[in-house]
Amino acid sequence: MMLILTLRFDREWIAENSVISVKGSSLEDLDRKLKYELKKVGYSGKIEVLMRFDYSTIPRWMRQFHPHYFNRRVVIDV
Amino acid sequence: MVEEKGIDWSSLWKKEDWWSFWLGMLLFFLCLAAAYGMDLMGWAVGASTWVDPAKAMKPVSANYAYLGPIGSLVVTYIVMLILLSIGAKAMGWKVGKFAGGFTVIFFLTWICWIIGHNAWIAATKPEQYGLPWSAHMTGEAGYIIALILGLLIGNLAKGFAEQLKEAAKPEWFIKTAIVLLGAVVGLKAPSVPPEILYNFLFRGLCAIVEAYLLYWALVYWVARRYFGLSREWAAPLASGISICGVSAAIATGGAIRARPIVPVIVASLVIVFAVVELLIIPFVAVAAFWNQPLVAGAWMGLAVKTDGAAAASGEIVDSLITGMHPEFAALQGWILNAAIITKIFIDIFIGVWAFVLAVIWVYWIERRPGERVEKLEIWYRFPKFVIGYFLTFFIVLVLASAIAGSVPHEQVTEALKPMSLAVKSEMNAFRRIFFALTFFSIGLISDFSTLRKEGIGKLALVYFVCLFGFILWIGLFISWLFFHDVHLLFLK
Repeated sequence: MMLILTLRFDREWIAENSVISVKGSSLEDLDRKLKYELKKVGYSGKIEVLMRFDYSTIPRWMRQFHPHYFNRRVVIDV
Repeated sequence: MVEEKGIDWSSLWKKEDWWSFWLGMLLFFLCLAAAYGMDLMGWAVGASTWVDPAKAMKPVSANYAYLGPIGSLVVTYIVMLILLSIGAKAMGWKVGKFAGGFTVIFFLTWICWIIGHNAWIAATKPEQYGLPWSAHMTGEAGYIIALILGLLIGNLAKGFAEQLKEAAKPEWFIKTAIVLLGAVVGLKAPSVPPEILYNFLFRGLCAIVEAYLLYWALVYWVARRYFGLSREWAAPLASGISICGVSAAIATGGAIRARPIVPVIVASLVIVFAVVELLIIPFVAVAAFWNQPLVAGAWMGLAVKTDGAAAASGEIVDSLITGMHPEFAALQGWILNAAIITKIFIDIFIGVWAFVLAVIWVYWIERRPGERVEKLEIWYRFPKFVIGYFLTFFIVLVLASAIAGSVPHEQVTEALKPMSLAVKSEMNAFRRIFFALTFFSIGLISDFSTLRKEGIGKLALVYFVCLFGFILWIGLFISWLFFHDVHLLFLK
């Protein structure tokens, strides 16, 4: 089982799905806040989180050059 | 909230990279039917050097001569529009806007292509056309005209350019063309000694070492040591300058988890430099190394960034050298292939390189606890059109060898005529159209006002210093090592 979030950058990193939305000034900050948020909504133990970067936020003209920005797989011990 | 993990198969129909594979393979098989008596694609329009405009274009196959020049052009346009629009729809683009943009781009490009074939510009033997002289540019002058028109529209008529940009896809066009190019090379391959093919492969492998270990390290060091760039900026910039341009900048930005603005700015810069390189370097190569054609071709694969501009440069060098120096006619296609193979090998490795950088950055440099780097990223970043290039190459190589092996030596040329129609005429016609569309589209998306953006001056200076300081010259030196006098093997 895995928690899948969409990742984007709009002045700060934002990881979200229909329930969770977390913002961080850096990816470390994002992971810290995500841990706190997961705890708040009732998660416990080791949670594997896949953050898929939202490629539609990359300018349209650039997307033809490369199909993908990056995904992050993070294991968070809540 | 919790979702199941799994592979996202939708990239098979949602990404340009896969679509260049599908489109290239579809055109390949449709054209290949001509080799077995079913001429399905002979209506494709081809241009010829002309004095009389009525003779400027015609269907590439005599079986479709009844269509005439205009009929052939219209059918080519309609079929390409339908095929590309299907791709655009699958990829979630605005199909109406794409179709409108493509229509304008197609016809403007075609006009440039035809102008480029005028005998005063293109003829390599002007006396054959009753002319006292010509510019000896070959028909490929049309590419340059298309590029210049694209640049003018992209920079001076920005509102109009914006309307066309939905269909200005140089990477999609060039990758589709490269899939078809594999077949063209495959048909030529049985007639050259195997050691030449090994040479091409070794040059490609060497290009990997050259671009990733030598250039990248040097550019990164220069950017950090002398220009004080942060790691976040220096790494994508180093990749953009040394490897494969925009693609490498995005891959590296992703690998080191840079803010997206970093590859966006670097990519804008790479595009502008690539178009400047495209306008200058092929002509320098032709002037200085016309007597070492394969050196000049391979040099383009490393010196000019982005697949589109590098392939376009290789095509210019190929056509100018073989057109202006008839003694090198046997090298037609091989000079371009020297550029393409060099570029393809560099492209193939980008996934591995991004993975290595991600491991270094995530586990050592930034040390984020809990984060894992996925090996699957290597596949995500693998350029899928390369599969198409090698597939079409090997299919045609095997089929042509089988045909050639089944008849006495003196009948080989005759036996290969249907295959030649399929590959040299029909696939090549589509390849050339896609190349021409690439030139126009590169011009259209190259925005020189990027250079006025705040903070880009330092990046541009790093680019300039590294490109002219060592990238061009090391690339030339290594191309020379591998390819000098190799053309003599073709001329035997």
